[in-house]
Formats: sequence, structure tokens, C-alpha cells
Amino acid sequence: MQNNTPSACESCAHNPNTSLKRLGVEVENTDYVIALAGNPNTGKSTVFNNLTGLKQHTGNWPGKTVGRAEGGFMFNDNSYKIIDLPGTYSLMSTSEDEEIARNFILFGKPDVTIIVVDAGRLERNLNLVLQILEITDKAVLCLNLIDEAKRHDITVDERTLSKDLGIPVVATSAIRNVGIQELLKTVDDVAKGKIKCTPHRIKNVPKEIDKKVSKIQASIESLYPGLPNARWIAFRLLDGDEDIIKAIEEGEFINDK
Amino acid sequence: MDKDSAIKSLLEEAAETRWEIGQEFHDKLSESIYQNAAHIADRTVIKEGQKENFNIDRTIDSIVTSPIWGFPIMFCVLAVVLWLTIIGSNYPSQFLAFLLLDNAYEWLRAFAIDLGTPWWLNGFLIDGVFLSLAWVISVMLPPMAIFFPLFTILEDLGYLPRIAFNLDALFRKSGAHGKQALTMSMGFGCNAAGVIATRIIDSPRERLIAIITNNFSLCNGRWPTQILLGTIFIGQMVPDSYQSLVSTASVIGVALLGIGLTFASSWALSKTFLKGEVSSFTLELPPYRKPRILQTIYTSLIDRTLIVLWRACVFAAPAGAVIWLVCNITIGDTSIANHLIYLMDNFGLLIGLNGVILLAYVLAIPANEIVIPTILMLTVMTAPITGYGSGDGVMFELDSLGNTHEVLVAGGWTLLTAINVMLFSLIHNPCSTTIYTIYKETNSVRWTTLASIGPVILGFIVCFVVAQVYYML
Amino acid sequence: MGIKNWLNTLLLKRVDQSIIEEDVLKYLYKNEEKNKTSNFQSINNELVFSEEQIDKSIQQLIKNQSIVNSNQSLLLEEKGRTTAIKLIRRHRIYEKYLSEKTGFSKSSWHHKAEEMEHALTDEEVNLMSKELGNPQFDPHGDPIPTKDGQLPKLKGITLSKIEHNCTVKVLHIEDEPKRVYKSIIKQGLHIGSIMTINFTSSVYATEGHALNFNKKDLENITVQVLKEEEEIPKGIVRLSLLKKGEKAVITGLSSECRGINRRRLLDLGFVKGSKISINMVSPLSDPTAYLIRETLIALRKEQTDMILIKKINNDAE
Repeated sequence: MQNNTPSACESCAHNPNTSLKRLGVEVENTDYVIALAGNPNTGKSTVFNNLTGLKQHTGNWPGKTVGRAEGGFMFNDNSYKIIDLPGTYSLMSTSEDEEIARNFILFGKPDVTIIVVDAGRLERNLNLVLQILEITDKAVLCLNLIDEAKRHDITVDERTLSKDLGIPVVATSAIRNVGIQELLKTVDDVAKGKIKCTPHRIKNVPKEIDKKVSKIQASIESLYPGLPNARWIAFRLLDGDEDIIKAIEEGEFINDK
Repeated sequence: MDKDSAIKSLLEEAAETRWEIGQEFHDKLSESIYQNAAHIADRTVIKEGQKENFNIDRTIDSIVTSPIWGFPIMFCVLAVVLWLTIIGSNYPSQFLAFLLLDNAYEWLRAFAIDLGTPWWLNGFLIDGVFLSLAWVISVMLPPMAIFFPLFTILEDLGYLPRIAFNLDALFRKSGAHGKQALTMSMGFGCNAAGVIATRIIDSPRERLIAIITNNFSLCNGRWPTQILLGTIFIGQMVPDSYQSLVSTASVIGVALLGIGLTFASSWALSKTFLKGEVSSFTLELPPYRKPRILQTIYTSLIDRTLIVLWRACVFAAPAGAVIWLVCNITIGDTSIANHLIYLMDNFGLLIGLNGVILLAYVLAIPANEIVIPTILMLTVMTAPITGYGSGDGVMFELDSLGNTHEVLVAGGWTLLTAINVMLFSLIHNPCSTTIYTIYKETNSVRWTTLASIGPVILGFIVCFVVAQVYYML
Repeated sequence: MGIKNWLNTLLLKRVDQSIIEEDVLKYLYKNEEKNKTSNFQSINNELVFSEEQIDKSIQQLIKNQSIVNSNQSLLLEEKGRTTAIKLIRRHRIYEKYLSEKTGFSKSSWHHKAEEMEHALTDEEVNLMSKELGNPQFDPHGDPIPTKDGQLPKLKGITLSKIEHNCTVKVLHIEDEPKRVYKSIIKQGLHIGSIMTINFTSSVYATEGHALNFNKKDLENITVQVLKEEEEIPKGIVRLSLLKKGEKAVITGLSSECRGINRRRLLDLGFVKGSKISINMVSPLSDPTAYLIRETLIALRKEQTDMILIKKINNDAE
């Protein structure tokens, strides 16, 4: 398992040598592209604003950020472009929000996807996390709102969570700027390949269905060797996802990594 | 095997397998994912103490959605927000009017005369473009700068979804979504903002209903018209001591009529044009959160107020120019405006309005704020009255209500005209900012046309009926 | 039949001859299924077209060998039967499409499909079918003919034929005539749901709801009797029957919950095994907010009829 706990000094918010430089919206020609995904009401936009210095407003509503917001920052001499995706519960429905989020993670191929979750409602949030981990293998879980969870006497075993999900987990309280440095460091490590993720794959799909999924998955893999999300594409094909069918017809999945 | 045929056979295989699995796939997969999530959560989440999670939230919820307190609290909140907006925006509005309309305008004119620019250029730029911009900004900016932050704070608190929850049953009956209560309230501030706010409604049919009917929420560009006419015409009918009561009642009556029309048109739309659109209902009630007041004020100013104001200005500037031009370009001996007024006058009188009012509404499509100034200017231009205004094509308002009354009566206004202008101000096409926003949000010419033309036709019908009834009495 | 057709006849508007021919073929096919004989008179009674039009169509159909006239009764030839089945395929696929992808109300599907079955091409229908995942049944529970013209028979028996106490599964609700159909769906009977019948006291109940059928209704409902040894799910009721303070586990969604509505509910965690309880009820008594997987979600009454639950004991969690 990867080591995702940098030294206390590095992660300290009071570190005077902080290497975060906010770039606002000038985000052309950046070194890395980061996607920010998560359920509605997880403080996703606060994380976004924290990283970029933009003041993006999203209310206490699900589905508020229609379209996507972009921003940028510098960290360790690398420039990062970050895209705030609409908050969704899932990536399998047909709402406009979900399509935008799904398409960006799938076709935009971000270098790292930060998944923001509400530490106090982990179970519900994991539904989306598990779906994202089927699509991309470079992700960081941002366990946000930890102070609120603590107030409700909820604690999360980050170590086990990280092990189960196969991606680094960083606890934050974005509203108080707690944990943001550590999040950045982790994102940087994943982007540069210093941390390798071995993401969780959805288990206990009913056997007879799973067998069929595997068959389709094999066909996809023989067509596009090395595709990291062949299983997820098989899921979508079996769900009759028109967008994915069209993308395959047009050869969108040619693997370039 | 080449790629194309490989792709084809893959898709065929998938279609075949999909048929074998049947319709259950999505269900089964969702189930598995949630099972996985529950399993991981069980291993990692430690809940100390057995107490329920949402204690405080539950208490608040039980109050704000209680059968006894739910509605009173809601109306109090709405009343406070509206009161703060209307009262609070008076002073900055007056200040802006003083600054832009009284001082900057005079200063610009004096400066232009010193510069020696030709009269038509001054008229076009200063009397036309500048004046309409100044009007829109001074009337529109203050209420929006107060209304939107207040609304946003309620939103951040998490209270607004509870309003949708409380009122959903009413909206369901007219085929709409409870969240329309909020986009409607937003419309009382500005219809364009109300239309943007419909993004919170995730069901296609209900969202279209909310977009198309938002125009029936009396926006803040139209409140002044209602208040002015309610005061100088309706209030005049009764003894002095009842005047303010009656005029207030007439204005509130028009706003309530708008709410009634919203429900009626929502119902009609859901049964006709929109019955085939997909409809679904979900309403999530998020946990309450402490709003960050300062950031909210800042972001709601940037996000809502300034964007809407900017759009309004973009449309108002050319409108001012057009107003000035039609009044100052002549064909034969008379100005274009006069020709148009003459053309529309008969139709106007048939529906209890007149040519001046109709022309003013055509010219003022960009912003309802400039309807009254345009009507006053056109009336002075055409009616046998002198001593008011400052020339053709220069919009103005009068400080004295008595004088306004005098000008309008000279223009042939009766009680019927006033009532019908109040009605028509509620029931006519949305302003061009809103029309543009509707197009941006729906991406459909069809729905934009329906939302624009529908209300005008309804307005004509309502005014016609009222006029005929009035003549009969 | 449809008001539009009736109006057409009234206004002597020209109805495309091929539409009448297709309707005649469909009628003959349906009668054949019911083992009834058809002749000019019975067609004339059933279809709204003029005698002249019907006569013309029959002559034309005989001429192109779709039907034959033997012993005063009209019989389908292979060619006519193929056309009729194609027509039924178009009708049922289109109904399925309406149910999954549009917001038209249940009782309007049939009428729309009656019109579109004459307008759609086979290619369009195949595409539609593919998009829908080649469904086997239409939303009323009728089997859909396959591309190559196979029409599986509807299994089960009509409710009117049941004469003993038993538990059944609802397979099909006939959508014609509209008045009977409307009366059945008003009862809130769902396809795929389990219904218990106490014949002695003639009580029908499904998912915790008692149903009051008219005599006519019973003939239009097809069910499959579940055998004793089969596992019959017990204690399953609709979410609408959950009371404040009670807890339950979701056992599934009704098959009448379709399209985007179904997906949304699944995505929000209304899946088998989720625990659910009422948090609060709107002051106007609808909607109700449920606590499910750590979140409050409000649902309207008609949605809660589509969600099936099993109540659990408060103490033994």
C-alpha cells in the first residue's frame, strides 16, 4: 500500500513555505489537468475555491453548478488546471449534470480526479466514488467536512478506507483550510506517478450477470488493449448507454496512454 | 478482422447480451454498488454513541415543516425579504437617480454643447443611450443587490428546499414542481434570474413549465409601474383616508393575479404543449449549514446581480437609441413615432389602451423599467399639453404625482386605461433579457417563442375583455 | 374507436386506404387469437370506417392474397398474418417507447400507438427496439413480436376464471376498451405485482392494498397462479403504507416505475436492502421526506406506490 501521509510540516497549513500559487482562470498550457467530482452538498466548491482562489458560488442545492467551472494553480513548480464538475449522486442516469461529469472523466482523461465526499455521509457518497473508480485509476479521495462529522461523533478510519478503495485518502475541512496542503501534495504525487493507485472494482455483481460482463469486457479489451476501464464500458453497453455506443462506433476509445 | 467490423461485432454481442440479461441490469448493478458502499462504510465509519445523526436538523425541520408553523414562517420570511428589498432599495435608487439622471446627464449635455458636437449625435448618445442605461441601472441595481444576497443566504442555509417541500402539493396539482415556488419568488426580483434559477429543477417538463411561466411573477422593473398607477388612478377613486390602503391592495391584487396565472398556465402547459416531455420528481433536503454571509454577498453580487444587470444594459442601450431615433426621424412631416402611434391607436383603444402605450411597450421590450418614462415622453409629444419633459425622444419622470396624473389625463387616460396598463404590465412578453435567457436555457426556438408570444396574446385578450366589460358598465 | 377516426368518417375526410386495410388485418388476427370468426358484419361493427371503405379494403386484401373468404367468414392467409404481426410489433414497441422515454400518461399510450403503428417504418421500429434493449414485453405486459415475426403467446389466465383462494402474479392488463383500462389503473394495480385472492369473500389485495374490481375488469387482467411450493414473497407492501416511526427495508421497485424515474430512484439509493423511515410529512400531507442512506429525500405519493418494502421490527434491527 502506498504511503500517503506526508510529514506534519508539509501538511501544516501554517507552513510559510507554502508552494500553492493560485492562478485564477489563466489556465492555458498547464502541466496537469485535475477533475473535481463529488456528490452535491459535500463542500466541493469550497475545495475548488480553496485551490484556485476563485469565489465560485454554489448553493445548498443539488445540481447547482450546471456546466463546469475551471481554474488553475501552481504547486511545486507545476501548473495545474482544475475543473469543477457538477455535483451528482451517480454517473449512470441521464441527467445533463451527470453527462457532463461522466464525459469529462471518461473522455477528458484528467491526470487526477479528486473525489470530494462528506465524511459524515460516507456510505451514500461511496456510491459515486465506486463508479468513478471504475472509470479512472488515478484518483484521490478528499474526505471533507471532517469537523462536522466529528461534531456528530462520526470518525472515519482513513487507513482502512484507503486500503479498501485503493486510492489515497486525505481528510480535509476546506471551509477552515485544513488539509488542503496535504491534498495538493497527494494530488501532485499521483499526477507524477509517485503514488500508484489500485482502485477498487465493484464486487458481488450477480454471478450470471458478472459472467456476461466479463465476456463483453474481454471483447472490448481485445479491441482496445490496455484500456483501463473496459469493465465499466461493458457495464454501460449492457445498460444501453447511447453515448457510449456512439463513442465506440466513432472509435473514441483508442488508447493513447 | 479489421477494426470496423470488430467494433460492429462487439456492439452486436453487447446488444445480444443485453437482451439475454433483460431489463434488470440497471437495478442489479445499482444494488451491487450500494452493497459495496455499505460494506466499506461498515468497515471504516465509527459512530460513537448511539444518538441519531440529525438531531438539530430534525428539530428545525419539525418546526419549519410543521402544519401549524410551516406556512406562517414561510410567509414571514418572504415578507421580510420583500420589505427589505422594496424599502431598502429606495434610498440607493434615489441616490443613483440623483447621480446619473440629474447630475451626470446635465453635466454630459453641458459638456457636449461646449464641445460643439452636432445636436443629433448628442441626442442619440446622451438622450438615447445614456439616459436609458442610467434609468435601468438606477431602478434595477439596488433592489437586485439587496434581494439576491438575501435569497442566497436562505439558499445556503438550506431553508429553500423546505419551502419547496411545504408547497409541492400546490404545484403538483398544476403539473409543476415544488421548486418552482423558489424560481417564482426569484422572478419577483428579476425574471431572467428566475429563469436561470430553474436549473435546480431536474425534471425536463417541470423545468420548462417553470421557465415559460416565470414571466407572471411581477419583476422589480414592473413594481414601480404598478405602484404609480395604483396610487394616482385607483387610489383617487376613494376618500383620502382610504387611498393608500386601496392603492396598496390594487398592487398586491395584480401580484396575486400573477401567481394565479402562474398556476393556471402551468396547468394548461402540462396538459397541452408539454404533456409529452419526460417528468420525474426528486427533492433532496440537504442538511442545514451555517452560511458565510460575506462571501455570499460577494458571490451573489457577482453571480446574479451583475450578470443580469450587464445583460439588461446590453439590451437597454440600443433601446434608448431606438427610442430617440423614432422620435426624431421624420417621414413626411411627422416622426416615425407619431406614425406608429397613429397606426396602433385604434387597436389600442379597442383593448382599453392606446397607441402611445403600445408603442412604449414595443420600444421598451429591453427593460420594463423604461416603460413609464417612455409613455410620459410620447404622451407629451402627442397630446395637447406643454411645459413638461425636455424634448422629443428624451425620457423623463415627474416628481409630482399630480403632474404625472395631469400629463396622462391629457393623453386621454381614464380609469380603464390605468387598470389595463396595470394588467398589461403583468401580462405581456418578457423583457428581451429574459427572452434571451430563456433561449440560452432551453436552447429551443419553439419554447422561447411560446414563452414570448403566449403572454402577449393573453394580455390582449384580458385587456379586451376588461375594456368591453368597462364600456358596458 | 379513436375519436380522430370517427371525426374523419364524419367529415368524409379521406382516410388512407392502407390504414383501413391494416386495421382490418389486425382485427382478423386478434379474432383468430380468440378463436372467433370474422365476417364483414363483425368488422363493420368493430371499425369506424364506412361500409364502403371496409368493403373496398376487404376486396383489395382478397385480391392481394392477404385473406380469403371461405364459408362466409374471412380468414387470414400467411401474408396477411405477417402484416398483422408486424403491425402489432410496431404498436407494442411504440408503447414501450412512450412508457420509457416520454412523459405521456399511461392511458394515452394506446391511442398514440394506434396512430403511429401505421406511420412507422420497420427500420424505425427496429432502431427504437434496439435503443430500448429489445424488450420482450410492452408496458401492459403483452409480448412483443420479434423482428422475424415470432409472437409468443401470453401465458396465464384471466382473473375472471379464478375460482379458488390463491396467490397470483399480474402478467397483463388489457388496455382496450379505455374505460375499463382506466378503471383498473385507478385501482393502482401494477404489472408484475403479487396479488392474493380470497375467493370466498371475493377480496383482492396487492402489496397491502385492497382492490375493488368491477366484473368487467376481471376479464381484462391476466395473471399467473403461483404454486404453493414456489416461494411466495410475504409481507411486501408499498412504501405509501409506511407510517411515521416505523422502519422498513426496500425489497425492490415496481415494474411500473419506468425510464428516468426508475433510474433516479435507484441512483438515490432506493435499491433492495436499503433501510428507510419517514422523517417528516409536508404540511399539505404530500410529499413525504424519507431518511434513506443518510439523506433526506422527499417523494410524492404516486412514487411511493412504486416502491416495495418489508417493515422491520423496531427493536430487532
